[in-house]
Amino acid sequence: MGMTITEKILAHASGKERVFPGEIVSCKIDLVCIDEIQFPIFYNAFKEIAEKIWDPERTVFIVDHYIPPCTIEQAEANKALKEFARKQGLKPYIEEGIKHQVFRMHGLARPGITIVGTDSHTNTSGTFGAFATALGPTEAAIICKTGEIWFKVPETIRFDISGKLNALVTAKDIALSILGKYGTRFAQYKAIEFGGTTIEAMSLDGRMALCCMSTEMGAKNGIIEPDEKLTEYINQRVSKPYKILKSDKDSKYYQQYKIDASAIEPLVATPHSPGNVKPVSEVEGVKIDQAFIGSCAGGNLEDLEMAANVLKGRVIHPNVRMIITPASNEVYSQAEEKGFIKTFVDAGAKVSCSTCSACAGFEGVLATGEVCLSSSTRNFKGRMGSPKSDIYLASTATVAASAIKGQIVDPRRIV
Amino acid sequence: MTMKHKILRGRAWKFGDDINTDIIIPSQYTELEPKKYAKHVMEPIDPDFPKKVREGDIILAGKTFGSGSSREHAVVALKELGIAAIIAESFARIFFRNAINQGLPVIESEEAVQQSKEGEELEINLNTGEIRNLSSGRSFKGVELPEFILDIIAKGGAIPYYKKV
Repeated sequence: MGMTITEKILAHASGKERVFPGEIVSCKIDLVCIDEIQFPIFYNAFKEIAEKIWDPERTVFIVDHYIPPCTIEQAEANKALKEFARKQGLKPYIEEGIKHQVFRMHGLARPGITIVGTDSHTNTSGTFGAFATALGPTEAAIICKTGEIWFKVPETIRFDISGKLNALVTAKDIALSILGKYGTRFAQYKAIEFGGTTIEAMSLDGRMALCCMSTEMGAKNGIIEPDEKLTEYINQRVSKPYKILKSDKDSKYYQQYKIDASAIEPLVATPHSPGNVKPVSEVEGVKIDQAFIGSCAGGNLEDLEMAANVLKGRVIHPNVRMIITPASNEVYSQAEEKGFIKTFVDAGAKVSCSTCSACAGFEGVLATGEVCLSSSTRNFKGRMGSPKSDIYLASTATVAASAIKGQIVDPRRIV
Repeated sequence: MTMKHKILRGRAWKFGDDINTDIIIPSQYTELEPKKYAKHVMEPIDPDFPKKVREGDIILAGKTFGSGSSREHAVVALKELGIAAIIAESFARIFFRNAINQGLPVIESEEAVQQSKEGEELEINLNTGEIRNLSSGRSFKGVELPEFILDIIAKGGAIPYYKKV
């Protein structure tokens, strides 16, 4: 019996010929990332057990939530992290964007490696053929001392996605379609592997959105096998060692699903769960106070391009505050070069600096009774501010179109 | 059998499914000190919870307790309030690990949750995995945890455990 790509990476990282789902293994970690939110808990743990980071080349400290800081407490947290990183002689990937996009920008996310981060959406880096998962700052501290941590080898759920996506339907809609059908718990403790012709045709931006959303499906990691598109990225960006691994043909999957991408329509997740998914036609007319385009699941260049295509020559509805947050400085700069930023500003949007932004309620905070339509990751109660506000999730096309209309609308009616 | 874990006894607080970390500790408070952010535990669904809870209380919850963000503040805050253990039908994986690493006992038991009510007295024996509802007289079995995980909990978390091995 063969192994899945996830099993192969964990076998490699634990120095074993092969591993089996359910087995607990100690794995060497190739990249660990700690952010400013988790830093205080990290630091309390780390100072108890070590003085020096085990390998500065494999460690990233980042500030990607409190940028720019809005309170003294946030400023203090940022300062403490920066001082620590500087003292440890770490490379300063501090304020360049959301960590998952920063990994990509610097060629840190790469095939065959293990990546852990103190951020639930670390799954995003499975796009690059890596085993990427989240854990807490206490375990990050142990890794920063030992370079290793335990994992229970997950069973793998395979999604074969085939067919051409319709116009104005995106990777986010695929994710919402899966969440709508299977819910937010089906992949608890499992790996999700995405493949098929739709994925082959999909850009790395789209793949990142999909792997990112595997977190909302409960998955330990989301992953896509390396292909030519990924090789192009590797050739341009990656200088550190990597290993191309793929699932064996006779791998054993826990479950296998087939999805026809050509049948997917624009979808919306309604409050307060990414699993409450409805076709956009059923929620059309819901008035919105805020439209947000950004986050690790919706702030890449392709998302901004789609938003720009929808917004070009149009004006945002006067009742809507629209926030657009490029996911990294690089994406921001590319969007500037392509004229997207001007399009956004001319349409009346507020473009903010590269950070997690409104997704986690750090800007664009909602008041009681307010409604936000967002291209971000999750719509839990109170995540963007008042517990009495509502968050709906959709693709960037749907968010941009709805911003113009002032209410949720099928983007195909606007464009 | 060696008794690594002391027997826990406490009053139950019951929650439903999908209690996520944005509910346990909303993001706007993560920048504060633990004593301050603990005052906001469960704020979106029960703002008075931190005032009602007392040292040694036990949380009963439905499916995927602790889903969402990996913020370990969620565990730190519950411990700060004195929560002694959480019994849930299931846990989200990051929260589950964070709880173990902070030495907070987490036990999966569908029947204990479904057959116990808020306010009842519960007793947990981590050495045997047995949960007893002292109010109703019923006993339940929790899902067994690997020995090394029980050891981490017994030592009070991953850091004390790491320092001793």
